[in-house]
Amino acid sequence: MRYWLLMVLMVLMGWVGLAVAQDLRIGEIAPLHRLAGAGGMPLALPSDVAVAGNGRAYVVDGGNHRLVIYDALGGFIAAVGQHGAGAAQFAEPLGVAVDRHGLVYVADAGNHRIQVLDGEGRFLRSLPLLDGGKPVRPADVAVSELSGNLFVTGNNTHRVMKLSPQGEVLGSWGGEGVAQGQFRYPATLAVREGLVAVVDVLNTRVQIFDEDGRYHYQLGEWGVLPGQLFRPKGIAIDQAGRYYISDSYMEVVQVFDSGYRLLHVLGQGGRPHRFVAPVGLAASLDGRLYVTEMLANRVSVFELR
Amino acid sequence: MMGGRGLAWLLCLCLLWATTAGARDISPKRECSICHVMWLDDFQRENVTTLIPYEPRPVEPTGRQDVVSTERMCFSCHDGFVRDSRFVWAKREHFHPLGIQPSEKIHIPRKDGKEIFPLNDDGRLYCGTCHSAHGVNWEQEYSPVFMRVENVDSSLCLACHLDRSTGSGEGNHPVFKPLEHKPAVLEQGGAKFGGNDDEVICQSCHRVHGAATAEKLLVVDNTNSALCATCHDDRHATTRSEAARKGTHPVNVRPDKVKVPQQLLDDGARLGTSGEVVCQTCHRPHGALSEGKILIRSNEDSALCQECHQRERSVTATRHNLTGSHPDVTNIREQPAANGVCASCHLPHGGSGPKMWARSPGGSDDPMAANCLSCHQKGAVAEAKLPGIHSHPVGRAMQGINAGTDLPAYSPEGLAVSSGGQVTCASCHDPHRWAPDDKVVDDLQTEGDASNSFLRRDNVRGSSLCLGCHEEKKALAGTPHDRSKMKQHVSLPEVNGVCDTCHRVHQGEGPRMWALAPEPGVDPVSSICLSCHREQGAAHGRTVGEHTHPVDVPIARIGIVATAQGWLSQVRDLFETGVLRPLPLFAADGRKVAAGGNVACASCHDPHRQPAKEGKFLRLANDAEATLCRNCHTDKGMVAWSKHNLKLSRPKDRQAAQKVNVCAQCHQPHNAGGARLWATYSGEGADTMAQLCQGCHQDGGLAQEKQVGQHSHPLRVDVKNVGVETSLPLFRVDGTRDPDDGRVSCPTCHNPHQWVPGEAHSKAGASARVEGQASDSFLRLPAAPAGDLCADCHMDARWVRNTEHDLRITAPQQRNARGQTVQESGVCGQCHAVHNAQLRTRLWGRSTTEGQEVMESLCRSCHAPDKVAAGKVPVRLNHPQDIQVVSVRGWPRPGEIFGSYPVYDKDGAVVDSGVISCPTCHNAHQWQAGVEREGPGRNVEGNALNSFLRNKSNFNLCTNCHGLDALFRYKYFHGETSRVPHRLYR
Repeated sequence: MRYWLLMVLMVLMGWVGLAVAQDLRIGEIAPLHRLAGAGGMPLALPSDVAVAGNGRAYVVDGGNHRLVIYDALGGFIAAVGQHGAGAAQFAEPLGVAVDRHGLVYVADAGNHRIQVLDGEGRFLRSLPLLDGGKPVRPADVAVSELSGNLFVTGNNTHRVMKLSPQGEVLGSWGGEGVAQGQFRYPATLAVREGLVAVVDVLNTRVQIFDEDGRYHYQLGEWGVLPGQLFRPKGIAIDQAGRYYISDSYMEVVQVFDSGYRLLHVLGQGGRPHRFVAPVGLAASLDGRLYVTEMLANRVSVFELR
Repeated sequence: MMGGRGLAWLLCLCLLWATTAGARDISPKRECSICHVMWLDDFQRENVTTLIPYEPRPVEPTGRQDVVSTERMCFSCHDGFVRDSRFVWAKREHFHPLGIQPSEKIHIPRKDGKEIFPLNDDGRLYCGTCHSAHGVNWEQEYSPVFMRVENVDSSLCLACHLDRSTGSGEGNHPVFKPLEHKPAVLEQGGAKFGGNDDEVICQSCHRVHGAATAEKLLVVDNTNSALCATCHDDRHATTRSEAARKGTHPVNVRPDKVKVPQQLLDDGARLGTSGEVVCQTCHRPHGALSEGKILIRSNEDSALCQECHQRERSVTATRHNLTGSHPDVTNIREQPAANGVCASCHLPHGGSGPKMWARSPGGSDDPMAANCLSCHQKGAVAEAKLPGIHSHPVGRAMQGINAGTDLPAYSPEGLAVSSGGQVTCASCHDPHRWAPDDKVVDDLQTEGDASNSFLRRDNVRGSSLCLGCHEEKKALAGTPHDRSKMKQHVSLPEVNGVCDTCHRVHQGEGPRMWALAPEPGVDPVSSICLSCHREQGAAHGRTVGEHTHPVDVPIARIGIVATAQGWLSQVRDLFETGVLRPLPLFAADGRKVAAGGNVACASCHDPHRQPAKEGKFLRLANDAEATLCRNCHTDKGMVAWSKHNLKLSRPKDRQAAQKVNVCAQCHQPHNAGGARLWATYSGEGADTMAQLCQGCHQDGGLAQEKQVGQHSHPLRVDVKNVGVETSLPLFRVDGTRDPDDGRVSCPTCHNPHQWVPGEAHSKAGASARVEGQASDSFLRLPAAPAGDLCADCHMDARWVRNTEHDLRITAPQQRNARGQTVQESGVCGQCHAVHNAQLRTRLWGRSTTEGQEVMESLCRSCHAPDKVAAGKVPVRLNHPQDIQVVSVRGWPRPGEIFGSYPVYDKDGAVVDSGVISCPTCHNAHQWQAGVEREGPGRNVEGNALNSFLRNKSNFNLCTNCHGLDALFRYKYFHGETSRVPHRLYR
């Protein structure tokens, strides 16, 4: 009899789990402004955004092979770089991060390197990326505020690299596959409080590790229901430890709490907000969410309510 | 077997698997739904709310189609985070057309009754038309993933566009032809190549996604033929000059001289963004005519060329059309002339020189002329029409003629340019037109004349073609050089224009395209003048004579430095007019040169211009200031400010007044009377130069009051024979200068063109009343006060200066026989008078006092009781005159350290056997024997070691002759009580 009771309990647990995934709750957002113009040249297929402590936003303008800097109010400040392999030049850049000192790190995918710039966009140094002797095509870069180390996703290696601030490779983990700790096209990543959250695109999940690459948790799963992921691309973690995950096909941003439970889908008026091919995300210290809408050639800024 | 407990565990495990394992495990269903999202079961569940609606075949801008083939689905992976195809979306409008229905030209192949490339539900193209995850192997090497068929060597493209690959024979750009090198620009643009990665395929020029242009989806924007240029660089240019250098038809230039007809444009010809001619103006890569050159229109018989070059069509009816006259002659491509009138001379690509030349250029440094010489040379088709050795020059700057002509000048690339161009054959000839404005039709037989012959302008009347450039030559009309103004019997042909009388543009007889036989023996330029200005010539009344201004001599000889920047004179220009006006100078071959040239007739004469009131075609005025002569002879111009300008010194003289030009008073540039182009009569003199001077300086002459007198400085002295070297000029008998073998003549000391030596600008002599001094008087060097002129030859006498015999030291107020003080006469002039001397002996210039012989008389001019040297008179000052002493010059006597002791005859001449006189012991010009220097500059008391003695008298001077008893003899002869008969010395 107790076994049957156990069975009923587990069935109930399963239904409860499904019910959580199916519950469509909307987290209201308010649009503030958009970052689109850049010195007379519109953005072209922007892929990621990072926001510094001073409110400056750094947008990877991949179609134009440059980095565009905006102020906190969305005013254009500067555009850095052009197509090329020289200093402060880019080739198909994808991701960007900014550390607490205001240094900017750009995943210069086509040049297989991370370029480090100061807050004004001036070139500081270049960190070449090799993994097992093979050039790594970085999809994104993130900086740990605790250790100062860099974490880089390798689009062609399906691995995550850990680098010292000087570019020394401290380790890497992953590999192509579907198992825990493996990736199929790791995309963007975010680091907070010693945890590294990596968007695993074709595995439709976000895997969370500690800074040494030890698996910690999986966030999201395959599907089209709330809390599930179909083309996860961008990730951001706000000051409250909430996870924001964009889905570039379903065109939504879902929010999970620090316990990895789905909170809601961002929207307005009780309906999910449809972003246009949303990819890179950034959460500012003052409660704003920056959403890169790639096919709309813009970055939309929202106030989180 | 399995009880209820086991069944419960199994069911629990299944449920757990169903709820948690979905994300981690790969299953075929899941992999398919990566794209086939609508296959997910959740869409069919009624109790769930999906984040996206169930819409398996949504309506896209391209039409209704399966969700897997929507742009949204494709981009969800191809955004760089899985695969990087952002270049495709970065230029979204540069896609292969989507959402359209295929045109009638497109024939989609079918297989098993189905189209290999399906259209969407609306019959339009969509992503899935070409792409499918179920097509070729993902690992297929040459084809990108998700294509429905392999795309090796653009095979996928050609499946639909088969008619675009049929080659040039059917009007398409060739494909599957290997390239020698793959242009980097193409590769950077994303071009691909077939075969062994070196063949042209569709994707070499076109790019289905991410093309540079929306139209035609080209890998490089071909607006101005830039795409064509990547491979056909040898046929592509950005300027006319570059096109000329490459020997190809210009592209990217506006058709300013031709007009692309509208009909051609309607047929598909294209122009550049600003109306430029581009490759596509003549060619089209697809759908061209089927004759192998992908031309817009057939070029048979050069028809396409003439579509635009309509003005050149007229060549067809001229003898320059080789299709009829020389149909078998081939161009450098071995194409016979019969192929087309244009192709005989021009190739649109691959020409050998300017104007896309199709023939082998002839020998000329001027590329344009070389083109013409392709035929107009021996052995070529136009060898009957050779320009000859003496032909109009080509390759020279048109600017040199200083005319605003409308005739074209050409760059070395064969471009007609408005500035900096050169004269070439095409400047006068339009090879496409027999006669100007097509007034005359070429009958192909009649010899051409100046009204046709492909000339750009009728040159029959008034030489208008020639004068179009040589405008300044128009001044010839009406002058004696104008044939129409010449006497009828003059042996020159009656011709059409003023130029033809003397010039023949081609096949001339001599330099300057001279139409007459040049006079041999002189420089090329002068030779053509003398062809008329000679005894048997047409201008036999205007010959130059035996004594004429020299030609073929370098201008540098008279101190002129001729440079391209102008003339500079090494002699100060008296009139200080600044830079001299350059006159033409000529090289040995007759070419006018700016530097290093020689003088010729045309240096002074401009045969095409005769200024009013002047009948000699002079380039500069032959006026009172002698502008022309002075322009070269800058060192002679100051004669105008001297008494040698007869208008100053003889203003009432009729002959002088008539000769306005100061130079002409003495010189005649042609037909002169003698040396130095002497214009006036000559006197009698020792040599030519003296005769010229005496022409005036003689009785009855213009300067009869200025004669040299009976006792004057000797002429014809060979200074070498008297052991002298001089910087003064020496002359031969015929008047020519010769520093080696010349002798002294009047102009040795006198410069007849300058009154004050060393002061060219001085006007001190510009008066008829001025009386000359030893410091001026046309002397080459000043003879006063220091006697530099005399000392230049009489070097042994120059030590007299600053001795007691220099009266500047001892008697500055004393005057010579002419009443001159030493300041006026100079040191030498106090004792010697070069002209009009008192005595022939030593050209003595002071009043003498009688002595026993003439030399003593000279000395006693001063050394006499009532004279200036009264304090220096010996008690017994003379040697017995009845004693004849032998003192042969050159035979040194014992003790004659510093030379011999001269003895004299009664006239004062030094002889080998004569009497002893004062200068036997004294050298009046040197204070101390053996010390060759000037005196101390003050009056000092002498002693036996100096005192102008020829030798030191410390026993030697007298004992040389008188032996050891000389002292006794001296006492006897020179003492107050002496000189009485003595038994010892009778």
